[in-house]
Amino acid sequence: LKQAIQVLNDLKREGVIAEYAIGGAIAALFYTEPVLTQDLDVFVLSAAPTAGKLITLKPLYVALRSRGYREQREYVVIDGCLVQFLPAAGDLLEEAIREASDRQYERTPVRVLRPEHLIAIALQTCRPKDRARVALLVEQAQMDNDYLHSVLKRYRLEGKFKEWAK
Amino acid sequence: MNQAFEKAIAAKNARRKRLAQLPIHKKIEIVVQLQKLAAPLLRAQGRRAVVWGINTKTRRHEGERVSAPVQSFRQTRKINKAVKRH
Repeated sequence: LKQAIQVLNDLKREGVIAEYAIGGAIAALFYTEPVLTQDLDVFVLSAAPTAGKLITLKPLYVALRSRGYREQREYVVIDGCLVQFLPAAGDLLEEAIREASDRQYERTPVRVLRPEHLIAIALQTCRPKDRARVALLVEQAQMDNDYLHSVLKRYRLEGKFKEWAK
Repeated sequence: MNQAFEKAIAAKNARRKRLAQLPIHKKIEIVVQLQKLAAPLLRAQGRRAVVWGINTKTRRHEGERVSAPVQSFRQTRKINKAVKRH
């Protein structure tokens, strides 16, 4: 995992990606008890200019291949971890990446989505495992409640949150 | 509610809180252990099973002590193995 994070930092420093932040279950792990997951989700802001609304991760995959990392279906295997790169599709994800928190993993700097954004993203996708993640974050994560409600309000997720809380 | 049941729930919640407070590298080690435990079950269901190639056994950090929740997790695994053997 450490090596995967170092690769992400290198890709950012080299300008292959503009910014990244870890999301999904591994991001939640920074705030909650451990839960089973199989992959590392990495949300990416592309450095390449986008043609209209089309986002391409091609330069990222080219850079990873040149480092010898192989693709396995929708994943790239780095340091024994399955890493899934996801483009920041939508305003919520873009904001979440820009406002991600700076953390450390074994003395390596890493950007991780804030718990407030993890909740908003989970409410947007709203699969059963996302709803479970919301429950875990609400119960265990140390959060800024005002910030959470401002995010939910901006992205019109207050209704979903209220519905979930019932 | 039954007093013993209440006590068990309280202990369970306290353990979950302790787990949430572990350092992130310890949590990752637990995730890998969970992947190892889940793999045969997932494969038996014909689902994809992944175990990250992170060596958690030899990993020790300077001046680090194995924390209580991880110890209890290991003890649980030992018990499970013993049960399987019999």
